[in-house]
Amino acid sequence: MRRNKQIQEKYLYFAIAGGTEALADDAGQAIQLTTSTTDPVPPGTDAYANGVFTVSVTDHADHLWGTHYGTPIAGASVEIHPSSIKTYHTSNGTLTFSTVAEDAVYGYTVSGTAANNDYVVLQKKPIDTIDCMMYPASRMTGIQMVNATSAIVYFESVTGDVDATDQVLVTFASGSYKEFCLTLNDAISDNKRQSNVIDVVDVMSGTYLNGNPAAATAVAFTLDT
Amino acid sequence: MTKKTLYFTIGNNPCDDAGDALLVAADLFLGMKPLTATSTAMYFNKVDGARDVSVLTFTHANGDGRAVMHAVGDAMLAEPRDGMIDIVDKVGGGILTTTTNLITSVAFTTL
Repeated sequence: MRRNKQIQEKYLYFAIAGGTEALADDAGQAIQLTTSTTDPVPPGTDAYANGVFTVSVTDHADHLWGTHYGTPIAGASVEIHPSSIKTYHTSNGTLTFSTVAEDAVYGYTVSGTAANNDYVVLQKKPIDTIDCMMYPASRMTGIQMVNATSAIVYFESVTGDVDATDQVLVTFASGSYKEFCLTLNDAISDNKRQSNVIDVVDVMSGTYLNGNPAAATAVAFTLDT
Repeated sequence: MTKKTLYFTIGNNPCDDAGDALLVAADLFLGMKPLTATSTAMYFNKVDGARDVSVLTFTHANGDGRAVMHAVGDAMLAEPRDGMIDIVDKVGGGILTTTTNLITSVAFTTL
């Protein structure tokens, strides 16, 4: 029988879906995030500039755009550039955009008709302790099927408690448990995967191992404390 | 056999006092997670052999937790001939400038 070479260490990364919210019919040149995106709202006045979250607006014929955006098609979703942000208040989540008159390149002037201003806010980077985790593959102890659409990946806890585990609950397409196991096994056992951390299921950034054959859609962590 | 080890400094220069630097065996690594938007923790089984964890806390730019985890993980995958990897060396610079540039400070929260 052929023996496997020693399997080298890998590092496995998981992340939950970013928080999101829709803000419809917004009047004025500012929008206000609520705790529906993240609770509390993303911290740091540089949060938008650093790409912690994005804001997209559904273009309307009476929106005005700076040259950076070209000529958006009415009905298309347009992501507002970080340079368009005049201020972001971390205490109340109010985000004010520069108008085109104020910034001819990155500015965006809202419609005077509130019903024409519909936004989607999306968290793109981790900001909280349960947003993402990275584990050595050698600390994985198993994958337990929960039901047709989910499984728990167990790791030795980062608390070092030998009686406890950290759990990564992954939701996937119905009946895809084996596909998920094979994907994770591929990550762990393939010694060619030695150059980078392996994004197994990173819902927040939309990065998945092997093209996401199990069609994973969600991650949730239960960590030992 | 070369045992892989990971080297960290907190940035004190000269680096010559208790707690200024740490070398830890890579196989003690347990995992990483964000603590806040600007800090990420790295957990090891305790270096003194006690049944507990050693915790290193990295401070970084807002939202860079994923980038820091990937950079540190990628650094740990290196296979230097002598086995020792400078993960974050705020004093000597180290060869892994990605991590050293991403991480603005290091604290040994629990050793």
